Amino acid sequence: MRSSLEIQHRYGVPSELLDADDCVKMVPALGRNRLAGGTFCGKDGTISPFLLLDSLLKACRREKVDVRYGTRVEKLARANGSFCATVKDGTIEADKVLLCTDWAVPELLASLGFTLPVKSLPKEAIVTVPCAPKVRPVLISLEHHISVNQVARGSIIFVVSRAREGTEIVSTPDFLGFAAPKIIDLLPGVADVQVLRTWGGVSSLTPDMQPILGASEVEGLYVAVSSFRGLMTSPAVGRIMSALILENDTNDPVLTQLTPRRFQTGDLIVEPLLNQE
Amino acid sequence: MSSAKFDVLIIGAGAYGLSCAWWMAKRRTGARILVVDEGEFASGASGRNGAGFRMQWGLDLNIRLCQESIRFFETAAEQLDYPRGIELKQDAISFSPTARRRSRP
Repeated sequence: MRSSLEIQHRYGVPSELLDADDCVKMVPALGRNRLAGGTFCGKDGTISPFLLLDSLLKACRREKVDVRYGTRVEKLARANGSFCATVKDGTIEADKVLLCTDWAVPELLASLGFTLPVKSLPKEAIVTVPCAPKVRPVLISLEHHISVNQVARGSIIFVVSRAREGTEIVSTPDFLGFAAPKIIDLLPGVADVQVLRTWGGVSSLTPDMQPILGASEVEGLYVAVSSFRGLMTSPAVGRIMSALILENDTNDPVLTQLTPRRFQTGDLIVEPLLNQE
Repeated sequence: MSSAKFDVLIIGAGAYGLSCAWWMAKRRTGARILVVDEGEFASGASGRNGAGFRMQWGLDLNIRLCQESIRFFETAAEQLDYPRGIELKQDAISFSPTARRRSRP
């Protein structure tokens, strides 16, 4: 953690090391028992996913981007130097294609005879009834695979990753029993808060837990896979991928590191904060 | 379905798909861009998650990607002409596995 802080500080990230007392002072609901400390960064936090998506959608439409929901691409084919996407009521032709379907990217690549090692990563969440402020900062526990956010209306949202197969966007019946002990281990002070509901989601996971950005083996076909951090990296990825696709600008070093080809060459990436277990 | 040909077809209208589309439209006025999604608005991974972001990584590339993105979030209301804003909340604690003492037997 200390070496990660050194790298962060080189980039001007205002992160700081906290001891256990600092943490409990900041969040009294935290368990003091096994806590050794953490790090704090006043720049990290949360946004509303719905408002980010809505703001992007409206901005796209103002710029005359055609956005169509309820349109499934069944098959993708390359013909005469361009692409033909088969949809329910016809076909769509395009010079270039960008796959942003995250964990489902391998499905469309398969129709062109290629693959990428992308899996689904189910996540589930617990939402509590609104309660008095208990968790002011957002908490991220890499040990528990939990993030905790008490939103303005008072509800606490606990998002928990769970290693299981599947792509169903559902909450599983035994989820509460799985997640509650982890949450109470981290935050004993929330044990008496009532649960309102649970929900499920799915994100993507790559072998080195890093995104995949770049040109595929098929000319004109590009991929952008988030590896469970699409929302948080979407502005930078939009800028980098738009420059690559429209201007063939490959200058950003991120493109070299996150290339889809790394799974063939074996140049996998090690993120220290995701590889401590 | 229209038979018009597009410059770029983006499949997936989550955060990546819409952000890439917006940046492309800003980068090249008049570009013909189509975004399709099999689901409805915010029905996929981008609409169902913890909505968290952080600069606290141990690898240069992750710090850079997130720093740039967080700077965008801080000014998203202006950049996307969305006065309501995106409910940005900034203050997070991370706990690393090595920062936890083991339980006593």
